[in-house]
Amino acid sequence: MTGKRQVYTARAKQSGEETKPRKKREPQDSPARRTRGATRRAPEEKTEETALKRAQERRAAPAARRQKREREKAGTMARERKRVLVRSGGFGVMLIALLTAVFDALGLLLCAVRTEGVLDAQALTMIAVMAPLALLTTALLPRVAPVDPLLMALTNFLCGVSVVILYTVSPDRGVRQMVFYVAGLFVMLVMALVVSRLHRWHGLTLLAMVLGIGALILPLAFGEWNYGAKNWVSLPLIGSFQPSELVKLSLLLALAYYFGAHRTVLQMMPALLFAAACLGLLMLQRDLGTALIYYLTTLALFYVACGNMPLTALGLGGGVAAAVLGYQMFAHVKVRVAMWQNPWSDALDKGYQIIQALLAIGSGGLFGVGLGQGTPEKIPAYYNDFIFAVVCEQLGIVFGICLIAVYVLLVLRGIEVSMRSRRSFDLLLGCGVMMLLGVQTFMIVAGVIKMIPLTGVTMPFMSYGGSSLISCMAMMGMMHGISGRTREEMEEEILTARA
Amino acid sequence: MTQAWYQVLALLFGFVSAAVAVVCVLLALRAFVGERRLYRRVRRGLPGSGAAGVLRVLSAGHKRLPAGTEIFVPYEGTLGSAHSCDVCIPYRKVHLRSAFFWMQRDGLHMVALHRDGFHVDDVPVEPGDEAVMGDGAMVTVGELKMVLRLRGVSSASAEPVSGPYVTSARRSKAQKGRGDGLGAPGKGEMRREKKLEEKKRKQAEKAQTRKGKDSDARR
Amino acid sequence: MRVIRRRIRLLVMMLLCMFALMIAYFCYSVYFYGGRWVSNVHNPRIADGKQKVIMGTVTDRDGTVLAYTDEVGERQYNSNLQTRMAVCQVVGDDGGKVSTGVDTFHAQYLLGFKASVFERISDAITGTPQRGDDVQLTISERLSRYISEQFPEGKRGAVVVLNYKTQEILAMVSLPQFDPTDMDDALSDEEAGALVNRATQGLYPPGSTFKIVTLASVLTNLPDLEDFSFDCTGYYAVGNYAVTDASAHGMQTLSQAFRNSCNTTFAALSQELGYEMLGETAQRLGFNQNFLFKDLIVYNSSYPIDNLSAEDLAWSSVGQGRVLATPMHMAIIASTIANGGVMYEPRLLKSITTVQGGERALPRAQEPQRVLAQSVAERIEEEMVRVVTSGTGTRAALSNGYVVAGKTGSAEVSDDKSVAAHAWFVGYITNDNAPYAISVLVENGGSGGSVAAPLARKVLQKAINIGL
Repeated sequence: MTGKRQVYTARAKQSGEETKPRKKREPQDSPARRTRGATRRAPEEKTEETALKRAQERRAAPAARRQKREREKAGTMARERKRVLVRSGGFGVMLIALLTAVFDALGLLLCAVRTEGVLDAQALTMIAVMAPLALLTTALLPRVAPVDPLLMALTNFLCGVSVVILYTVSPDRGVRQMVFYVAGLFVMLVMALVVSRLHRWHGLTLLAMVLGIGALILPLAFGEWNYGAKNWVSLPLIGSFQPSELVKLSLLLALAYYFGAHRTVLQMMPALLFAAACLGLLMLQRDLGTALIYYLTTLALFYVACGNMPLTALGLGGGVAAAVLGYQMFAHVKVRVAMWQNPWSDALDKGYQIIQALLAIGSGGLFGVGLGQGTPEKIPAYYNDFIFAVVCEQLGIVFGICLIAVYVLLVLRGIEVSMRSRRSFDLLLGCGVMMLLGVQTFMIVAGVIKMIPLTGVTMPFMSYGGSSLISCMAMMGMMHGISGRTREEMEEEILTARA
Repeated sequence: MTQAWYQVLALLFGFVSAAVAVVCVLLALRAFVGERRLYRRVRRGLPGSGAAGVLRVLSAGHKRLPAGTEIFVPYEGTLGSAHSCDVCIPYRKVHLRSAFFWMQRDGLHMVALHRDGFHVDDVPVEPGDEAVMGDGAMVTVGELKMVLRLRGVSSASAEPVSGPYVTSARRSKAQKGRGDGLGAPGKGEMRREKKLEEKKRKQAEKAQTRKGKDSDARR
Repeated sequence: MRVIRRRIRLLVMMLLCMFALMIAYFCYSVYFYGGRWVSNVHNPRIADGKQKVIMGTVTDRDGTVLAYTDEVGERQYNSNLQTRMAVCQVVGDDGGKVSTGVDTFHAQYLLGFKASVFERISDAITGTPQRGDDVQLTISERLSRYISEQFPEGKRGAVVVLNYKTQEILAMVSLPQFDPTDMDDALSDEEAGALVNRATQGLYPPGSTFKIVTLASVLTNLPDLEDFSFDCTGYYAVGNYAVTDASAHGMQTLSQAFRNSCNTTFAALSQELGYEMLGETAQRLGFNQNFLFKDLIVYNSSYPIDNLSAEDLAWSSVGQGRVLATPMHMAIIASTIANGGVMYEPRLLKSITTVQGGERALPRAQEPQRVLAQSVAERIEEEMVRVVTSGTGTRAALSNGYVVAGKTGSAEVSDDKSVAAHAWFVGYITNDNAPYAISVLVENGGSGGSVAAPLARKVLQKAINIGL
């Protein structure tokens, strides 16, 4: 009995001694288990000599083991550092790119054989563009340019779905969407390089603000009313485009620049004034959905930057007041809200849009009626605002939910990337981009499924339209640039640590 | 291809696309979580990663900050007694958010917001003043004395920035606003820097040639 | 920086919550409403499908064909005019004018939207044109026709017969009716409302039949009122108005008041209950609830639960005022009492047969819910039996040992010019070998005891004779 007790006290002492110094060095390691395992054998000892020997061995062995473990740890650390240094996304991301390519190829192949006895050469050509592009941008681009592989893969997936779906419902738009996608990739690359290289933003921000205001005035001066809004303008050379989509970039830049670096509210004023001017111009254009996105992004970034709760609440209150005022002032807002509450009351006229969207979603079922099947063209604006309903009808609700999940992952990844940056400008820019994209996606998808009143905004990456797609790609370029800058700094740190 | 067969294929494609989407989401989730963990582990293995430098406590004033303690200083952030501050100095006398700072190429810039006994190399820093600290600057907050060790700067410019750190020009600049917060000097600054460097080099060359001449003369 | 990061984390959490909420809402709405969206009248895919797919056959529970598609692809209906008219609102029409008809509401089966890949493949191999599933309904064409014949001449109204053991709808007849092969005629006289299925879409004040609900509330919430008695003078002043009765009933116990359908007693009881308790019982029994039945659309019955004034409460306790119910809902309440207080979802689809001859799984009904205590339901049944043996509903009594439990109602409605009463009878046969619940409504028919009760007796007798 006494011997046992001694053993126990010895164990307690030993483990106490063992763990204490170790804990300091390796907090995540648990040597306690090992020592306990060693002492469990202790009662078997019979003579004191062997006990002493064992004790010596025990004292010696952990040292060796510890050394070995430390070596191993150093090895894994070196390996992990190397993995961080590797610029490609790894196996999982490559698989996503491959699946995207397969999806694009199969979908377009299906489009090619749709009409009986005719092989659509256009669709086959598109396969030759889309599939390699999806693979190359994910596999090669991150090696030569500041591009985040996961973000790139998810963007490719969304754009691929968009091109395929648009090609089935109207081939013409599908082809043009692909052209915009390729152009968008270039814009993204340029943006990524600029953001990752440029250190001096003052002039560019001022320029962007001036250009932004100018661009927003354009449709008011030269645009024409359609769908109750005046947000399109056609210029010679460029063609018709929607300035409010591109001015999003100016807004994000201005907000990130003037909100960054722990400024006081007074010093934030230029950006706030710019945002207010944008909001005013958008109201004049009656582009209320976009105005809401601008407003929410500004408010979110204001809160993030200064954390001034009273002022944020004031801004929120102002927004609500403006919304109520807008509800009273604009008849079409009233109609939208009424149709959200009960679209069936006027199913053939005012509630037609939302009802057709719901019917399409319902008709699709879990796995859809099949690509190119169904009657999506019955939904008004099926190619831009209501593309989510079309996707749900053709590819099913499961796919639709996965699509939302992809957006969520995109936002999460973007936030993760921007959280790693060391400067508030990068942080706010990245956060702003992701907030904007997230809020926009939420607004349109929730609107289409009749969760909130419908706001006429585009679905990022999915909706047909050059301005929307290119501005989204440029925003992704900003994210890539931020990630590239952080990555460079991290690489430098790793290299100096190794040296 | 007849219509019926196309329908079959289209339906099958529906299943394929759902499977592709589910797998993509799962893969993306896995990649996201995996990369995040890897990054965190690597960062844990790199103490001071993401920090511009370090503040080493000299005076043994506080039990939570004994002498020799090192506080990592990020490239940009706030200083104060609040836990949420990037540089937390848990003294009762120090305001919750007492100053903010950011890195530029010439050193660490700091704007004090309160009179919390800020001194840089024994020069007092009034609220609203902007102080520029190079490697080796002595920072005093309240009774706490610290020395600033900068990582990148010390290697870039051989000699530490010498005082005075707080100038009237700085003060007016601090009131007007802030720089980019990006750690890059402006064009004008760069030009001035270049000129200064060239001047120095020329002087050094001149001195050398003079020395050489002198030595030649001696011989 | 640290603060900024923390705030961003907070915002991202909010955004994530919003997205989670959105996905949850999406799943919820698709699960509960998805089927209804497909089978909506405004769905252009139904008309589209009719162009491409051969629509399936609709039969009644005995296999009598009610609607089919002929060789030319035209939709045809039963050759007998009486049959055609008796089931017209249930079956619906080709053009989707009757939005709740099977031809529209179950078009996803009839048009083969539910066909699986394997069925499509076999279609593609054999090269046959695509054909939808055949649908067998639970209604009996014979009973429906009998009801249409026996319904008071020239009156409008509805009759619902349910099997409360199997929840099958045996008959659902609404008058006036139309001939689906001659839609021009029906459309020319849309004022008559033949296109509306009054059994499921007609909202009427339930009148005294609502006393079943009031009684249930009293028995549940105020059990000490068993030996309650009230002196009915035919007039009960409450608030600024009064609740009146046709005649003074004198001293009434609870049981007597139910048997004699004494308004003043129930008005007095309602003041004891308060609108909260009564409203709660009414909602448990399905008032104000969104019936999301899988097989048919039933409009929501309503009971006002906002803060009622005393007189509104008194009137609502006898099923007047703003209380509205469909005949189908009243039949469901009757079968709930018959089932000892458990409420089930009624079924209209008996089976769905695929082209290949297989059975397609029927949409799953909601779980049955206990809405009243067993003892309360039994006590109400006792009272309802007494109504038929010695109360207002004696003319609904059956012979040959069949015991009928029921409640009559005469719901007063007034348009601008005149006051009329809808005649109601709600009840069921208590015998196990004839588990039929019935709800009869005759618009402007007069007294429930003299108009609706005899009709209910005839219909129940016929149902027993047919042996459904």
